[in-house]
Amino acid sequence: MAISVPSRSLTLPRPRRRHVRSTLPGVIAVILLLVLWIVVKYGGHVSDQALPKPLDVVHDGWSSRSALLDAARHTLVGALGGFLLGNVLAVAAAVLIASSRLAARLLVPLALTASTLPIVAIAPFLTLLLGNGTTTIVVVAAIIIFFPTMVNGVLGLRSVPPDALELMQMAGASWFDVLLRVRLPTALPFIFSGLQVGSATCILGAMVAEWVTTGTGLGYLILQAGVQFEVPLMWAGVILASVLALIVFAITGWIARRVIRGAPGDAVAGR
Amino acid sequence: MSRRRVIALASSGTVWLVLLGVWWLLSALNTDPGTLWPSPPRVLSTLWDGRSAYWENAEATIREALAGFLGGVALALAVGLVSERFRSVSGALQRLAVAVYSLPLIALAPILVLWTGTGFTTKALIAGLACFFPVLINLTQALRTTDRNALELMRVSGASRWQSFWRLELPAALPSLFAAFTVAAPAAIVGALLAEWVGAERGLGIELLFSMQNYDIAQLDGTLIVISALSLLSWTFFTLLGRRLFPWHPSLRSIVVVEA
Repeated sequence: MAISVPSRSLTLPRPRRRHVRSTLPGVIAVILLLVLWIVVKYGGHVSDQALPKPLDVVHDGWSSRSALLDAARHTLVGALGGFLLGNVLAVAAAVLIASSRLAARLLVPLALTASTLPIVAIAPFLTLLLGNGTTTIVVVAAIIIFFPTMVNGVLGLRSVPPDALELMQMAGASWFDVLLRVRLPTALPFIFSGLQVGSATCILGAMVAEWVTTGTGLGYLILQAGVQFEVPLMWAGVILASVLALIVFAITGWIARRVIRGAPGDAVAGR
Repeated sequence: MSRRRVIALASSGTVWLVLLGVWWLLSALNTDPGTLWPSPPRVLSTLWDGRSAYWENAEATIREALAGFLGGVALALAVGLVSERFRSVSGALQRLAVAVYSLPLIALAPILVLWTGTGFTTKALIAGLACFFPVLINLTQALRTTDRNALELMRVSGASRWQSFWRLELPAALPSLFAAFTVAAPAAIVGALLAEWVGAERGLGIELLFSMQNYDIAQLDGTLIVISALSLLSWTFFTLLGRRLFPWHPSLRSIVVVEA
């Protein structure tokens, strides 16, 4: 991988072609889905309730755009707040675990167990504990992102080459210097490889928590539109939520590729 | 049992005991009737008294999750293996799968409810969707990263494409597949729970929601305990099975072992 870096900077068109190659399947998939939608709708004479007309979805979505955007804003605030809070806490915990054997012994088994538990299931409990507000949404999203970031962070902080540590020690660097200049930079690619999938689960977590908690946001809007049989609006909500998730996914992916630069391991599946 | 293992078990046991102690302390400090912290014995007795209802709900959820898991895994295997036959497609498919996995699939639940009602099918479908993508992503990733030298060796010794697939690529992908199962099995349970939130007659998800709305904290805690136990059980099952089948594989080294 290290060899490919200079060649990439020498031949300019290459990143562009890569870019096309990575977005092309997505574009094809979207077009195929749209074609499939139209074919099934008009070829199979499906009722409007099962599958609304694409133009109806656009129309209803546009006429309720303020409600949709407001809901999207609520969801994004909850997801982003949780994303920031969860990641900051997770990196702090990872530093603690990587630098203290006792902390590792106590916290790692706990974290591993907790990460297998269905986090969204505690949303009802958190609602009673923290109230019907944005706090609950943020906390649910934060818990969801916490474990993947922490585990990847610990792995990354520990994978520093011993030579680098020795060099820093000989140069008389303090513990904090080592952390800031060697350990964290080494850990970043590991953390980011998990973040690409994790960032989208924050949106999912926020939406799901909104179902039971605040009665705001895209998750609630979709559910409510479904219950009231406003089918085109429901589809508009689902499409908007998907677009949001894809945008967040693309942004974290873009950042991750810049941070990782050929580090091992692609996005690992895991919620 | 080695000394290191004893220490590891003792320390994680201590943490759980401390957490239990904190819970007990909180319940001792908050004894008013509407408390958010019913004492552990009270939750246990709620669990025991309502055991037939808990079992009935758990059974419904388990069946939905199991059907979803089997269906999702079968579909992921089929898609992954077929796309593997066409190399040029599998790369694009994997990128696509990772992107689709980032979509809030659970948001599809209301649509599926309109299509198939609030019955068993919807729940199994959502549970299946929840575990389809982790399995597909890990499988295609593993198949694509088969050891180049081993592949070369197969080709040099005259193995057909089919033989090298059955004898090399698939066995080499199995550990990753089991790692994916440890993610997919709890995901199927989450999928089933969330699907029940949209509408269900029975199930742990709907019990969770009801006990929140009725402010029955002891029942809520009991349901959480049952759900956590199920989730842990499914995870432990595939982790232990994977460790037993492929003890040599690096993906099974936990971060605790790396540290010690």
